[in-house]
Amino acid sequence: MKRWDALIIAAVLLLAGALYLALRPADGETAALTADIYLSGVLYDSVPLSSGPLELRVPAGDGFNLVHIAPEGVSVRQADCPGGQCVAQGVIRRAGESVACLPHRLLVVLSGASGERGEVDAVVG
Amino acid sequence: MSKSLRLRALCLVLCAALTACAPAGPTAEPTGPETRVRDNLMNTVVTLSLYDHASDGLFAALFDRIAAIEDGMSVHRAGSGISRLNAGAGADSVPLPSEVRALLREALDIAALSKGAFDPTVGALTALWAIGTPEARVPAQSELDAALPLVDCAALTVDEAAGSARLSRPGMRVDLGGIAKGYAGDETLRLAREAGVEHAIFNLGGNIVVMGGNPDGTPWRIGVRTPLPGGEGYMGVLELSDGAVVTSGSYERYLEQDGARYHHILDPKTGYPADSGLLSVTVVYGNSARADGLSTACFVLGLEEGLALLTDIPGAEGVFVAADSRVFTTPGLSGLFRLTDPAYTLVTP
Repeated sequence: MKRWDALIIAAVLLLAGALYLALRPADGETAALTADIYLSGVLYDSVPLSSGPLELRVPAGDGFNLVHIAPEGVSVRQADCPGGQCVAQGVIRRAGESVACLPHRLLVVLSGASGERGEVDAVVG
Repeated sequence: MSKSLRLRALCLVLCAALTACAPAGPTAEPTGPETRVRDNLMNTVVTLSLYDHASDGLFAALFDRIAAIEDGMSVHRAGSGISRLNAGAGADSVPLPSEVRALLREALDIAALSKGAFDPTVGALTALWAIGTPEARVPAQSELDAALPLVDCAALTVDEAAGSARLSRPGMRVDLGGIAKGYAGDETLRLAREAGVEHAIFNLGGNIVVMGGNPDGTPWRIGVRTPLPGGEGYMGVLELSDGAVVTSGSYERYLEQDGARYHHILDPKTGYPADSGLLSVTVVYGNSARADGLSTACFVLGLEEGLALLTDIPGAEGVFVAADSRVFTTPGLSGLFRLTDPAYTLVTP
């Protein structure tokens, strides 16, 4: 192998490496996720998880829901709905997961998958 | 081979090799599901994920089908077939669409299999407790004593020849809440399959129906929700390519009063929330309506009788979580269920 052969091989490897880094999907399960917040079925706001941690007070139904958005996941921290099941549901972390407050018709859905398949595809119960 | 040709060949091979190592990009087939969520169907959240053949028209057709089933089966819709049947209790037969009659027959079948642990005529009790609604309350014993004789599936008859059904005693109420969501799962899966879909996973308020396995060639992985109070996420993972997974658990809907917690799965024999020593039962079966009814029945029956019931039904499997955090499965789930939460103990079947 001549010197130029080695140089060209090295250049190709470098280029391939750079392309790999530039084009690979984002790291982490939640890095590329967005919290889509719907009120009565209409999109109210879309917040990338990477912009958190932050808290959004959403005027929903006759009251409010306090939506906590962080890179690690999304939850309803506080709400004045009857039952409070939205708060009890805890944190959602994967694309396709949702937390809902049915009395207030509030729905938060995680969208924009990282392309990676999670440990589970759905949760029963 | 000339030097420049050799070099070009070498570059080509290198490029090909490096491209093969690259992670699956957005052009890879398939790239992932298209998912739609609705929160105004069957008083729950419905999530439909299609991995092929997704279109706005198909999603709309699937959601419309669920809405139509709700219109026909709900006790909360004044004009629904079930509401008309209840309104006519103690009087003449009520003409009903074939779909409502079929689901009533299915409910009666599950009632017979479970010796009444699941009972579609439990409506007089569920209306009293009203758990999951703003009117939820603990009824007086006298109210329960009056309602219990109205829970009797022998007094519900379905007449296929006449296209009708009848409740023979006044005050009786059918409530198909225990299987209607399951039936909607079966129907959405059927419609998707007819539209050519090969890989899909639907979540109807926690009832899961799946088809075709994941497009990567492995089964779907279904987390089983942790039923311990205050718990979050799932405690184990089930593998399944086609069929339904449904859980009945005391954590789902409940009423808290005077420091006590009353969950929504009522024992048709006592009138009170079932107290069988279980936190949840998850049933795996080919048919989602039946899985839905069986999970309720097993929860009411308890561990031993519930396991025995599933064992008698070919293709039915289950995961039982006891109040002491021990987890039991039917033998058929060996190798298909694994525990992921160390707070629980799996008892080998």
